[in-house]
Amino acid sequence: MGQHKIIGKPILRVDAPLKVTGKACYVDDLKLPGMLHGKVLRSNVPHAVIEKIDVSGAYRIPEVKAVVTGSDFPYRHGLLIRDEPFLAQGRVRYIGEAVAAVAAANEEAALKGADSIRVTYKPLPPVFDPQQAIQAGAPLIHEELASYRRSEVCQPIIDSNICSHFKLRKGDVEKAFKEADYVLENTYTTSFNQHGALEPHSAIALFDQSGKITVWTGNDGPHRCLREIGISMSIPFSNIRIISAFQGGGFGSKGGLRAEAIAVALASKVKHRPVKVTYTREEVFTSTLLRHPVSIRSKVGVMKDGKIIAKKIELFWNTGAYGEKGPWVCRNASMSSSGPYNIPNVWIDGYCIYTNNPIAGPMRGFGVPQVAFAYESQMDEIAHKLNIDPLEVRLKNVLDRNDETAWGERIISIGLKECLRKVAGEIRLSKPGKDRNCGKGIACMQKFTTTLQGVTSAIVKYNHDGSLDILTSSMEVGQGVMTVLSQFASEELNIPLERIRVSSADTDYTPFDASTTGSRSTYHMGNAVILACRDIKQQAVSMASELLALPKRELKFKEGKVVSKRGHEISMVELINRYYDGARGGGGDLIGRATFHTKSGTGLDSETGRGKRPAAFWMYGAQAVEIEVDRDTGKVNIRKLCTAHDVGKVINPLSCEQQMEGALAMGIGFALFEKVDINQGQIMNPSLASYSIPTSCDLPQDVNIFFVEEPHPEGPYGAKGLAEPATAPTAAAIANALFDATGIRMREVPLTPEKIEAALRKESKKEP
Amino acid sequence: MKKQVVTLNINNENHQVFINPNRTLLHVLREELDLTGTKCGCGEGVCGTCTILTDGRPVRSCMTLAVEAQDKRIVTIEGLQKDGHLTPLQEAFISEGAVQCGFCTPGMILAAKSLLDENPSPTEEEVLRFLSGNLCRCTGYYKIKNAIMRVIKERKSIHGPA
Amino acid sequence: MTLPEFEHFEPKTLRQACHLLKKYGDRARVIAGGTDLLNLMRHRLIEPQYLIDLKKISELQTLQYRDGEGLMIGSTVSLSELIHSPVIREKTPMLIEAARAVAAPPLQNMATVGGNVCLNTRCSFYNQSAFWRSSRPFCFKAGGSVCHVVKHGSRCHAVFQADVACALVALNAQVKLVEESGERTLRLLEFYTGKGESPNRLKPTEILTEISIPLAETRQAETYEKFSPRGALDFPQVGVAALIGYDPEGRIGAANIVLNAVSSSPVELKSTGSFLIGERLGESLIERTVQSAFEIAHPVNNTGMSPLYRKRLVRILLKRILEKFLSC
Repeated sequence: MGQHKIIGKPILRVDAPLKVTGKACYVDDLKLPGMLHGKVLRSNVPHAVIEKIDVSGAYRIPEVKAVVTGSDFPYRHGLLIRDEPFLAQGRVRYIGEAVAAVAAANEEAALKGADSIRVTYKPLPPVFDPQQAIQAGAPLIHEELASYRRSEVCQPIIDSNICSHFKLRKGDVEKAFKEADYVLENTYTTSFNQHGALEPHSAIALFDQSGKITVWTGNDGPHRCLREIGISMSIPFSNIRIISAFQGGGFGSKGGLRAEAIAVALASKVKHRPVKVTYTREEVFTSTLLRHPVSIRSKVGVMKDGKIIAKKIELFWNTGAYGEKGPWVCRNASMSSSGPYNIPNVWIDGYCIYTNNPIAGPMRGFGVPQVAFAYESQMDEIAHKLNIDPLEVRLKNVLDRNDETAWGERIISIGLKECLRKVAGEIRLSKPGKDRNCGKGIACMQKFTTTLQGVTSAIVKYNHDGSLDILTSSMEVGQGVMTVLSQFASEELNIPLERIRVSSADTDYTPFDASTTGSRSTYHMGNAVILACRDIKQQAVSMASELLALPKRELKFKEGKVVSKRGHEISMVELINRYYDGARGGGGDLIGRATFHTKSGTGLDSETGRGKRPAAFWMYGAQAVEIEVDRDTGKVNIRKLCTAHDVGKVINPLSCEQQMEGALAMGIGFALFEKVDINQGQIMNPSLASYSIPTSCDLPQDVNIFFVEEPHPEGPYGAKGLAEPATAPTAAAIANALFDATGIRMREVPLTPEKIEAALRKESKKEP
Repeated sequence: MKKQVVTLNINNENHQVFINPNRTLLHVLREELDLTGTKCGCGEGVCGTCTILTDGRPVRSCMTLAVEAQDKRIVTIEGLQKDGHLTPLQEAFISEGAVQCGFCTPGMILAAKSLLDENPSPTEEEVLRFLSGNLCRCTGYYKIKNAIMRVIKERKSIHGPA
Repeated sequence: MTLPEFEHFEPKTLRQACHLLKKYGDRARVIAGGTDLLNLMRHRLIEPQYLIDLKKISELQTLQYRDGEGLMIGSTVSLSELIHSPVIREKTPMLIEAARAVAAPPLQNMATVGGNVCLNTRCSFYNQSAFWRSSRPFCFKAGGSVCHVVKHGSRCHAVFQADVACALVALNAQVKLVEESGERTLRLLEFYTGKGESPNRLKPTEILTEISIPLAETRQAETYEKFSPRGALDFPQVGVAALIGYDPEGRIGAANIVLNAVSSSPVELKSTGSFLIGERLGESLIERTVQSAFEIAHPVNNTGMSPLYRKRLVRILLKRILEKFLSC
């Protein structure tokens, strides 16, 4: 492969000039003619029957134009299980659930209106703990669970609070445990987190005179959003249009229907006037999504040489009051919870459990930060038990190309050993820390991007002035997709970047894309754009063949032109203009199109959890840290962090660094700082003042980032994905470093100073 | 509550608005004057996305009443460019990759500007300390710090050491 | 989040401000930086009908040192001004440490010394929106009759968390309170009531105009230390202000140790005044002092971290401070 012109170069972000000047438009910046403002009345009880809603007080406020409740808008939505009402219907299931909404001429009137609505609740017994929720006799949160429409991903246990049960069965774990030299059994737990995207959720909806519903939103899956609205309201997809703005971060919280649900419900009542709903920061905490807490019981059978021969894992995912993408998080993360290791016998049960808590959904990593904390902490527990070096025990077990995974997939491309060796070398893992308060730790991870719902289309338009339009429904959520897609097109068609425009998503005009999630866009949309560019090149050759009266086999596209073996050449601009000369210089364009998806993709068997190709691609990475512990206060200071990820191919090193830095910052938050503290279903810290997103003073400065390029045969130039992985190994790396420094094994995140101090004190009391 | 006429000097232009006294400066910027570059991330003075400069100092516009901001020289992100040219800080944010989702960017740039206007060569630690009042969820602050250090270095090479 | 309705006044003189307060009484509040007040108003915890803005009153903005008298700090001097003031750096560097510990630099621009002194006490059950608080009966501080922190408690335990105020107490600061009919001066520690629901003695008709810090006669060591989850933005989980004055022979002549965030007011270690004075700082004296501090700290579970952990932090922070003093 020759040197690329623009692939692999640190191209500057094409969206940055708009953002540094304040010109980038986010949903709340939009003002539409006749626009109203929507506010929500929410449940302040965790579980209750709604006996009565009296909205008359709201209507007495002159600027109030509409009030809507669940009985006015009796629809439910949910990608995987259609269990969530737009507005509560008959019952509320968590504190913060939308009960009524008011649209008014201004925000104050809408708030006054919402405040004036009186709701009478009859409390029902709530259940908050997932382990209690699955006991016999626990209050049933969804009595109609059996009646909900659902996808194959969701496997509920009827008449229980188990929204979905994922099973994976490989080999014979019980037999293997008997044969193992050592059996370890540990439980690891994680907490609720919040995504903390700085832009609060916002959506504008309009039902226009033609009956069309238009929604302006920063939703991470415009076509998916359209489908959810259409399916839940039983209206044709062609009657719905989603127009995107820039997203001010989402990290998984801006999928599904959040502010969109309220805006659409209000707009349906108001008719012909747009309604904007922008959430407060408190609503972002209580009424969008949280990261699933999970309790993971892991039993592992190991031989004395360090080879793992069996793993039995039970995972209890607290999904909150509604399923959202919980069943998917449970499936995908549980499935990979034995780690990137070659283990012949694996038995996994993942339970996605309803509780009367706020809704949990995907958050950067899609469950992998949680499971990686467990399996990588346990790897070090194994290393310690067997007195084997932590790097060595990993290298001994790690998957290689062509190995079969726990779920029966053959590994196509994996650069994990390199990642592990790299970070272990950089941190000098085998050398002790600076002093007795310092420790070093290593951890790795695996995450996939699913083939399920993985259809991606692109249109590329070569204009007669030589400029290029890329029309896709990929969302610019901050990850740099606009830049990367421009790079692919520029490389394929030899057009300078400044002549390339990338559209925002508008479902009337930009073709279908599953979503901008799961680190999938560089791979999926990159491939679609490349294929669409190649479609243009083929068309150009055909057109040139006609124009030049030469056979196609003598022509090819080279460096932005069509050239012949005999020395003819014609530029694209000349080609387009001359080909359409009948229009006498009136313009024209060449439209390339393509749809990409993984044709060999499979699901997973519902009994064994196994499938040949559930993943479009896998991402692998490793991190190593050196920490310093303040043994009195329990505070951890990260002295150095090294992270190495197999990205397949670095398309843009600047963008790759950006993603890694952001992801590891979130990994540190997950590991050390962040916990949404829920007391009887109520969030105690629904504020950026009391929920500890790291500030610039809280992150290590000695950070070293490395890329390993183990190409994926189907990735664009071999690329895989990158957005999420660096968020996953941090917690275990820190926990392992903590053990190295203190001998204390912590199995619960976040690893707060308070918890560490308590553990250190307990340990010191044991000493003589 | 009576509305009153409030005169605000924003980006060197005077604006008159007729508003209730309980309106924040943030609300007036975004809703009355259509200067939507200043953002509302939390509404309680924590996140810093509403940062503007008042007589050169960074303040939270969500915690400033519009009536309090009269007789002050207010600068928003829209006011930084001169004749369509980006400032060195804006250029550095682009060239160092300090921009991802962009929501914190206006507030971050203004905070950085005020720091450098007051102290032309802060240390890295001082930069990080100063930025602690502006949250970012995308970047880990690394390239934001790099962008600011780059401007400091470029200034030194133009003007000589401070 | 919107603010309730109010009328806004911008008096140019102290006299005008006092007159307005006299006229409107407890229907009015003064506003300086607004960083505390506006959030309380957003949450509908406080709903003044009149706001008296103090920022145009030049008498409240002065910062000076007078030989023989000490430091005089106007109540609307911002924390940033304090941090950058050469005279503060020279005379009371602990105040700069405390001011730098507050939130973050942009908020230090807005927040004022007077505002920090009058900072309302806080509680994880109180500092919440009206919607949040509607899930349970109103607490004492919000005008109700329960405490959600101390079950069956008979009083409010909202916690004092003002960093600069804590340092000022250790500096033996005094506050001047002015109303239309007169003025009074109180020792800052006496300004605080120890009551969570009404933490200070400021009358509705009074304005805190000046904070004065007496001269230090002897060589002294002073510092303010704070512990919080993050390196910025957070209120203290625990804070310690310590000031040790030495006589010419190096024995302790004065010892002011004040704890922050362990009660509804700053907590002064009175007892150390007796056993520290005349002694030389050393290991066993340090141990005795930190043990005293540990014993008088009685935090409750309303800041996010457990009370027992915070008690232990008091011991750790104070020990480190005194060991640092010892090594100087």
